[in-house]
Amino acid sequence: MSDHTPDVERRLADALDRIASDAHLTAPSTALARHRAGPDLTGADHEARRPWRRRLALAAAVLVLLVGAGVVVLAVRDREPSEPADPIPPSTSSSPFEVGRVPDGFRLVRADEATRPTTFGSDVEATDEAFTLLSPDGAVGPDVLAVSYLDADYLNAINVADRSDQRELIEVDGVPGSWDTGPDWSDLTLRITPDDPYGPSEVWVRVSSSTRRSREELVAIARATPVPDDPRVAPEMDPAPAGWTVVGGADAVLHASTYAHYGASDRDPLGPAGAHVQVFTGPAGARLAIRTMAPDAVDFEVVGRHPWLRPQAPKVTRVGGREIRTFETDCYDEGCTGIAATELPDRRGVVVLAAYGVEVEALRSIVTSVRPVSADRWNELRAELIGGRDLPPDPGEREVARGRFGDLDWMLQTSSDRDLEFDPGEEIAAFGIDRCLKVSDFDRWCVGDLIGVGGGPGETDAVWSLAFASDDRPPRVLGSLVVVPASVAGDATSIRISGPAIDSAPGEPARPAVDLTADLRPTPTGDGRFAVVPAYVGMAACRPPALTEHPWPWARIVLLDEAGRELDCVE
Amino acid sequence: MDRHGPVLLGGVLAWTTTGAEEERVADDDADRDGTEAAFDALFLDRWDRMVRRAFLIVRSEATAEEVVQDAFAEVHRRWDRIERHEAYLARAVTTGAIRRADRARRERPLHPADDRPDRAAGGDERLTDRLLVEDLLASLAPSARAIVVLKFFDGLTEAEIADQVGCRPGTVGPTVTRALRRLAQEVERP
Repeated sequence: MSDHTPDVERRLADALDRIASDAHLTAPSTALARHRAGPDLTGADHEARRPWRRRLALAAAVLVLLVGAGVVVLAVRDREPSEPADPIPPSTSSSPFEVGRVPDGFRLVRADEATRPTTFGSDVEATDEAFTLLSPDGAVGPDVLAVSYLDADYLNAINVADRSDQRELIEVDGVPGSWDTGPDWSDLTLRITPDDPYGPSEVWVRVSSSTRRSREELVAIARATPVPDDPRVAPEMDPAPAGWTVVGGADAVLHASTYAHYGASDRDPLGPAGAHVQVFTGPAGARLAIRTMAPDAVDFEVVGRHPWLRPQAPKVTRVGGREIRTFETDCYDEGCTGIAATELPDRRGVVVLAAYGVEVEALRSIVTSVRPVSADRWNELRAELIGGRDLPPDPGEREVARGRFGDLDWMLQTSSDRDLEFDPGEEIAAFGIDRCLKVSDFDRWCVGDLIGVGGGPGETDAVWSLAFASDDRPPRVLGSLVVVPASVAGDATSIRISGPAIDSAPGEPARPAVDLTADLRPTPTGDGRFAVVPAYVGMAACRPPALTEHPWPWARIVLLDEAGRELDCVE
Repeated sequence: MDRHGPVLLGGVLAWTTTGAEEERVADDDADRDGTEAAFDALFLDRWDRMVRRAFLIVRSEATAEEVVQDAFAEVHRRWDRIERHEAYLARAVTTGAIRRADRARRERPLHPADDRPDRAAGGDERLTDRLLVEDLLASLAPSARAIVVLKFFDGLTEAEIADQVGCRPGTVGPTVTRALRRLAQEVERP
């Protein structure tokens, strides 16, 4: 360590104090009142509850990203075409697909079916709202209303709807709501379900007018809006309120998919159930997500018309001699683009793209290169992500273990990259073991950050961590990797892991009781032994901690010799 | 806390309750009031500090508040099963913040490894330190970030840090050392 350490420590502590002190936080009494109003059970992203802060943060973040990139990627390259398009029947759902043209420097990192329906109505920009569009005559004109559901609780309903920062809190016959107007718009939110401070069943409605319709008119619309079975689906306004006609609707999942801050994540792809998604990453954090949806997923006359979202008409553009009809999102983030387009041959579906760092002209070009493929070809594509169906090691690596979890095969390989300082799995890489398993679900399941990470090489601790592959909260867990330094393992040839069932705790998955043994194998570096076990181990402890005091699970790991005798307990 | 059957039926059947039952109901009410008062006191006492700790880990004010709100909700839900509420809260905040930071980092990495912070114009050491520390925090994995925050913001011992972060005590020292080394290199860099 440097001679400057004491000074560095002081300067570090002082800087942390200043950074923490400058945070603008809710006063404890206000926060307590919020807690009293009910815990947030919705899973809503609270970033969305700070409209301006969120916008600034996103803009700054993306600016950093783009400055780092130096350029906005424009060039695209053609990929080798696959076999001629398979005979694929017209689809009433998403088609598996391949992409013939991707931006230079982009790499496919995920090909999957969507698993994550979005939260709804929690974004200040209304980008995740299912909405139904109304107009006086049923045609799209300057005088329209968007009727949408907002996510659950009072605070969210008020904060998300804070369009002008001067919103007026109102009550309508004892029901809470809010009201806001501008030069050429008006906006109302109103709760439409009974008060439910401790449950997620509260539903609010927002009615947005493009022409500054009166408060009374919007209240009447809100009251005519039914309580939904699924608030991610556009409100069923049947019959339409007096004086209004339904133009059409847009569901939340489709809507959010076109916006990069929802749509361009490579983990748990967002989209309607079964939608096929490919995610590419590019230089300096650039991202591109492509998904196909059912032919009727997008009503192009409606989707761009939400009064909050800089209303726009669908466009017809010629790309490479072909006409495509698009809805192009006007993102609020720098570098963010997204479009939905009708392009798949024979109208087998629509293509929806969301990206950071890819200009919309490039997106249009990419759209025209999307081709539907058979399920077999789709699975080939997915298998390519992990090197093939046989789960071979990556080039330059070698297999160190292989096994099966339930109906999934896995393969563990060496890791040539030992320099993972501060990255999840750094301790494991130090033993020459890859931090990810290749798994026959065409994915790589990687160790999570921290959960149960022990000491490092040369220390007298077991090192162990988890494999997981989701951002679910709590995460999905495939299994655990246990690594024991040679100095601790001694003559041990196997381990026995036992622990009680654990309820789900903050950030932690529930776990059934575990009691299993597993063989220890030598690590590639020869300075330890390891085992891959089909269980969530949690935190190792030789003695059971007071369970109610620990928000994370634990397990007892015992070293066994060849005869099955207990040698030591590790933690 | 739920009341017993006869009381739930209200005044009509209240005459059927025994003196002991009425006493128990009164005790339950008193317990509940006491719990709520204790919870409120914990909330008012720890909210600010916990949010600031979480903020240093997740680097977002709103997310920090959400993490702490969730942790308090968990403490509230398990109040009767927890003995050391403050310690449980601290663990839940720390692990919750690490989770959120980890998720955010994987969703949108913002700091390329070769990114270097600018130094403050005019050689303002305090501002330079702040920039360097902010960059250090951004460069650390969330677990390492939490360890640094608990060490230098909260002043906890290695054992306390290991307990709250959920790692082995042996992990704390090397993590702190490496973080300090990295910061020292930046401080000494011309």
